[in-house]
Amino acid sequence: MTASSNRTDETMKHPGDLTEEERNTAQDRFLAAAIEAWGKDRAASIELALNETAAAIARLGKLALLERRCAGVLPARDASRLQS
Amino acid sequence: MTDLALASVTRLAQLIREGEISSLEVTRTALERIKRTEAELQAWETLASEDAIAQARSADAEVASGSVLGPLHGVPVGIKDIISTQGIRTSMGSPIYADNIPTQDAAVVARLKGAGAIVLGKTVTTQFATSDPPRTPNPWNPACTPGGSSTGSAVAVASGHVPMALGTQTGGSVNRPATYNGVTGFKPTYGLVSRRGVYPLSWTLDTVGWMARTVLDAAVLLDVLRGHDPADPSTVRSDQGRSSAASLSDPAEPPRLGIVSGDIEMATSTEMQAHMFEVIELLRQGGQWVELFDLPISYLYSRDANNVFQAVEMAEVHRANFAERPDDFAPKARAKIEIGQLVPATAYAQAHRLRRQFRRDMDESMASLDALIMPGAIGPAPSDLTTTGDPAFYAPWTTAGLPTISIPTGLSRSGMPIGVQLIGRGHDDLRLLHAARWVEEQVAYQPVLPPMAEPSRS
Repeated sequence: MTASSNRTDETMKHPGDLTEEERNTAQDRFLAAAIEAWGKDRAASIELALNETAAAIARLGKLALLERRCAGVLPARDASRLQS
Repeated sequence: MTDLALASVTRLAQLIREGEISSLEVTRTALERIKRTEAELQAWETLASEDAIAQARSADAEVASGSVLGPLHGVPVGIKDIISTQGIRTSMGSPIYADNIPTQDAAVVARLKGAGAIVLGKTVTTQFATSDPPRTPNPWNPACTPGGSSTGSAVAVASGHVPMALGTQTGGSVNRPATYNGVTGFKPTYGLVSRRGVYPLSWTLDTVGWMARTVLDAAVLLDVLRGHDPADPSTVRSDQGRSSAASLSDPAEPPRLGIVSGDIEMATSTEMQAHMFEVIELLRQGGQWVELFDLPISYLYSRDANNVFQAVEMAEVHRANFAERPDDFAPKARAKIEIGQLVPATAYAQAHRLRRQFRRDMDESMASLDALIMPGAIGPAPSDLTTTGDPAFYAPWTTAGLPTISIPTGLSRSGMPIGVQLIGRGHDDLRLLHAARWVEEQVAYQPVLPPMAEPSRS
C-alpha cells in the first residue's frame, strides 16, 4: 500500500528538472560570474561546487510554485509568481 | 567500567539521585576514559576538567542535602564547540575564534545546567559547522569518516566519554555522525529549541540537536531544552503538553510507519537495503503497520533550497570576518562563502517558497502516519577522509524543519555502525519519539563500545 502524496499541486505539473542545455547554460553563467568576482584560477578551483549551486539555482528558478491562496483565482502563470 | 561507559543519561541520573553512585565518580571516570583515549580519538576541543570536578562535588552535596536540580543532576555532558559556554573557550573550529571565551552561556547550555548537568567540555566541530573534515577519526575504523559537523559530540558519546552531547544540524550534522558512530541522534522541529549563543551557519536551517544512548534520553533532553526564547525569534510558543519522557513510559499502540521509497531507496547501498528489510520484518512481526510512502515532488528540490540557504546565509554571517581574513577559512567553508556572494536574490526567494511548499506537502502526505522510516545513511561510514559524508538522507528534512531521529540498529559486515532514521511531522516531536521508542524496543540492538574506545582491545 502506498500513501498518497499531493499529486494535484502545481509543482507536480512543472518540475524543475533541467535539460542538458539548460544545465550547461546555468553553469556557464555562474562560472562567468565567479571569474569576474574571484578571478579565473580561484573560480576554476571551486568549479565543482559552483556547478552544483548553479544547477540548484536553475532548478529552483524553473519551478512554478503556486501559492494556494491564489490557486484557481488568478491565472496560473501569474499566481505562480505571487509571494505568500 | 564498561557498564558506566554505556549507561544512559536516564540511568546515570537515577543512580546519582538515589545515591548509588556519586556525580564525582561518574565525572572522574569520564575524565579518566578521555585521558586514556583522547590522543587517538581527538573528540574534544577543550576540556573543563577542574570546573567539572567542582560542579560534581556540588552536585553530590546537593544530593546529600536532599536537593536535586533536575533530570540531569550530576550527569556530565559535552557541548559542540560552536555553542557558547561561559568561561570555556568556544572556537567554532576556527583560528579566528581560537581565543574566544564567552561571558555567557548559550540558552541550551543554561538549560542543561539548570537541569543539573555538568559541562565536561567542548567537542570538536568542523570549522563553523560546515563540511571540511575535522581531525577526529571514526572510533570504529580510523580509515572511515566519523561524519560531521557535530563530529566530536558523536564520537564522545559513542566512545563512552559522556552519555549525551549537544550538536547542531543545518544539513545532516547530527543524524549523520550519530549513524556513522552508532549512537542515537535527535533533531527536534525547527523552532522548538533556542539558538541564542549558537554560532550561525544558516538562520533558516540551523537547529540544535543532540546525541544520546536511547530514545528515552532524547526525550528527557527535549523536555529540558525546548521552550520559547524571545532572544531567538525562530522559537515558537508551542507547548506539546506533558513531559515527553513521562509520556514514553505509557503503553502505546504500535505506530503507523511509512517506508520512504523512491530516490532514497535507490540511493541506498545493497547492504543497507538488506538491513532495512530485516528491520522492517522485525517491526511487522511485532504487529507494526508499515506501508510504502511516496515522497512529494517538492522533495526533489529540497536539497537545492538547502544548498542556496547555506551558501547565501553563510556569506552574510561571515561577511566581516571573510573580508578581513579570507585565508583563515577552511577550503570548503571558503568556497561556500564565495559562492553565496554570487547567488541571485531571486533564487534565495524561490528557495524560501520551495521550503514552505515542501513542508506543507510533507505534513499533508504524512497525515495518516506517525512517522516515516528510512535507512540511517546510504551505507556505513565511507572510507574517505576528504568528506564528512553525503547529506542527501538528512538535508531535505532539515530544510522542511521536520523532527528526525537516528537509532543504531546493528553493525555492517565490515563492523561499522548502521541504523535507521525516523522522520516526524512538524511540531509533533512526541509522536516521533513514541514511534522511535517502539522501533528501538522491537529491534532491541545492544550497543557496544567501538574498538578505539577500548585501547586494551585494539
